Amino acid sequence: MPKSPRPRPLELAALARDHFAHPRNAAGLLEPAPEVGTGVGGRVQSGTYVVFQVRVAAEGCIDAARWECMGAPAAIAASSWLSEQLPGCSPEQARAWTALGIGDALHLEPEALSALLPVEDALKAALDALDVE
Amino acid sequence: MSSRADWSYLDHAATTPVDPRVHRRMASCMEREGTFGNPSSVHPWGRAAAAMVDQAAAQVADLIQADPAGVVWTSGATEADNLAILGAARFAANRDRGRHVISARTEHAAVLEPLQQLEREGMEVTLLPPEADGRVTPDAVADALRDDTVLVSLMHVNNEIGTVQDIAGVGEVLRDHPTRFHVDAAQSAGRLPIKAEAWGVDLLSLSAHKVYGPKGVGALWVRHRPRVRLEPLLFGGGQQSGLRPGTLAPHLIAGMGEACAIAAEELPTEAPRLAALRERLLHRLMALDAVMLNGQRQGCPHVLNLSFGCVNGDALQAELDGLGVSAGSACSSSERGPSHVLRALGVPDALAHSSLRFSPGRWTTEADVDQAAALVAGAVERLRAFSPAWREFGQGARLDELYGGNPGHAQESKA
Ligand SMILES: Cc1ncc(COP(=O)(O)O)c(C=O)c1O
Repeated sequence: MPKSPRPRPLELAALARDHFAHPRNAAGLLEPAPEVGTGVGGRVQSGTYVVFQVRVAAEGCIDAARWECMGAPAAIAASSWLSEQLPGCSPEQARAWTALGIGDALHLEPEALSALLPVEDALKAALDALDVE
Repeated sequence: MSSRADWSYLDHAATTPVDPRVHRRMASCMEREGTFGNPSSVHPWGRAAAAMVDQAAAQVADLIQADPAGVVWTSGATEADNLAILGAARFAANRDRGRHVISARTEHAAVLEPLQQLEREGMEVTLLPPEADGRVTPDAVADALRDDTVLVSLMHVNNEIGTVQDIAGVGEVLRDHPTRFHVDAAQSAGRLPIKAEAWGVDLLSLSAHKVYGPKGVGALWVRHRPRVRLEPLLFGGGQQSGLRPGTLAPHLIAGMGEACAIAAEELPTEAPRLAALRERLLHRLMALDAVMLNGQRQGCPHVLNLSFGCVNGDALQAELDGLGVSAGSACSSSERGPSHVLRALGVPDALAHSSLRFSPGRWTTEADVDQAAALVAGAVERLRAFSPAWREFGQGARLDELYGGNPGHAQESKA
């Protein structure tokens, strides 16, 4: 995937910094239900451990996303940011989000990408866990 | 919230500010009419400088309860450690007295690196593993001791975790063995009593900048009775009996002497004061739950090392950017990666990464400690609010289960 041109450093830090400082959709997980998919990525032992949830509304679109993340600032910011992108997407569209794409959107340094892989894994696992795809 | 410029400095194990009394002493040497002479010169200027150096040696020796004739000035504890280790081992090896050296895995790089150099020179180094709290027992040293052991090197206080070694006990074990005994006392000076002669120490390293003196000067104390001999690292004009040649720096030496004199005078009140600050911090932070103490419950008064469970180390450091503490993985070196000390204790890497070293000093107040505790508590609690590991801990998972840790290092606080 080609990298987008890198915006000014201050600007690129700002979006991720804002999500790290003010995480969205992190106020508790959803109750288990057939329309809720829950997935896990990473491990406590490796320092990044992520739980991601998506809920699918009757029309087949995602209408809510929740997450928990023990991770570096980049992983926390990515979880928060991703949770705002998903509502309105179909589960199939949601699958298009990868660590690389999230990193680009948040203007993260390439070194931060490895911290994002568990976020991608948790999202994929949450989508796989949906009963209603 | 106060601005970060107000955050207090709690990293005195890394280095200390220069005490104003030390500064005045040094500044007076650097006046046009100050004691600027070359201590090797025999004219009045030289003699004045030499007298000042002698006075400083007496001040240093007084702090460690040792003979002032043994003080060798160096550039710091790194050089003192190198001179002691390479000097003593090479001297013995050159005379076929043996090629075996004993030390510990938790030593400072200024000890471990010269030991690696000795290995490259064909010597055999035994690095003892510590107990779970960082101690290396006299019994462990006795078990490792061989007929061909020529040097034992152990630090008095560990710079990362504050663990205090039983130097007197190890000295007792070595009493009837011809091996030399080196102690890196860079961290203990001014925080714990040091009795170099009585403990049977042969070589003892000190650094001025850890005791409110200037950077760039230290000392190796070398036992004179009976005489301990070393191969020098440097060759030159024969100063300091050829053991460490080079023109002495009177202003640095006077500063170190003054710093040691103040440290010795204040030790009886300063040690308990620091211990109370450490205890206060420990108490407040252990209340956060899922916190592990790395080191001894009653460690050296100026070092407290804690691992905060269920949060990522990078995130914790980002939250506390600006607070004057060292992050666990980076205490001893500028390079990233797990600390060799915490690894030797068996702390899982992810937990080592989220550890902080708090190190109060001469001007640290209870308010400083309370502020730091509140900042750290706020950061940990914020990050735990969305940490799945913290939720699982709350549901009954133990830290060693979560981290795949080891049973030997189970000192977590669970209320
Ligand atoms: C235990 C110990 N030994 C040696 C040193 C090195 O001291 P210096 O900075 O004086 O070379 C330090 C400090 O970094 C230390 O803490």
